[in-house]
Amino acid sequence: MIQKIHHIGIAVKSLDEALRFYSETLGLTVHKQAVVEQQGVKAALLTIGQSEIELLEPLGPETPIGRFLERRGEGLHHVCFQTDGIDQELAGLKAKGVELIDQEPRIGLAGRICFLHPRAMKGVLVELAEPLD
Amino acid sequence: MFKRIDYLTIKTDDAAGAAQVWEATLGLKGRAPQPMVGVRSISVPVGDAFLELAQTEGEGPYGDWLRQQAEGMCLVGIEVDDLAGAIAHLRARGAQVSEPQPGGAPGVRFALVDTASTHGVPIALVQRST
Repeated sequence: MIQKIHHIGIAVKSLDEALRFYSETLGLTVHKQAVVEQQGVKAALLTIGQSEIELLEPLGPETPIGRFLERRGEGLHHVCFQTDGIDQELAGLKAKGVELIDQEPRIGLAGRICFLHPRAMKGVLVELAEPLD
Repeated sequence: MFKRIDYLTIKTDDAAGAAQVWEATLGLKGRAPQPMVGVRSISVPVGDAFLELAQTEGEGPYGDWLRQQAEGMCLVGIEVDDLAGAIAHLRARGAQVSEPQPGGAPGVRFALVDTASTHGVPIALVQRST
């Protein structure tokens, strides 16, 4: 079951510069920060209420976030919903024939995650996450 | 000061159709459409926040603003306790923020933070009177 917005993902050119606004100016606490080679990003999660803001800096131009920045510039990239059972969620989506990017959950900064194809959600890139902590 | 994500606005050319997709795909049910000046809006509650599926409909400040946005996610509402204080806090740190203005629902006031300050994300600071 979908429980809440886990985070809103924002593509940025420089994580350090973006942290100046989201961490120093807004005063949000950095909950996690890591390089996720598999996704080609340097990322940080900042806590805001029961949700988080995820800042994503590409590791290079030929990464998904690098290509997004080239095409659209900095800004809103995806929304992630927290679920208490990503395997059941994914099985349900497959049974409904929903177009997916990930056929199986993988490990991301937010836990066990998967992405739906934006075509499935009228152009919105949706991630589902089952946190591990 | 910046308490929580209050809403995420998603611009669509068909709010009712989008609501059907969100419900059929993820089981998130929309409320009855809210007519606002210039916008047809369907709220989809999720946790302590909601998605706002927004479709331009005629003239009005919100509709005019929405018309300039690309389809998809276009605005993040962040709840604050003290709108005037939040505006002063951000301006003192160099961010450009609009003057406070009344929102679409009763008792709501908001101000927009310029995207040059937020790395491309339109952010509305939202104060809800209790």
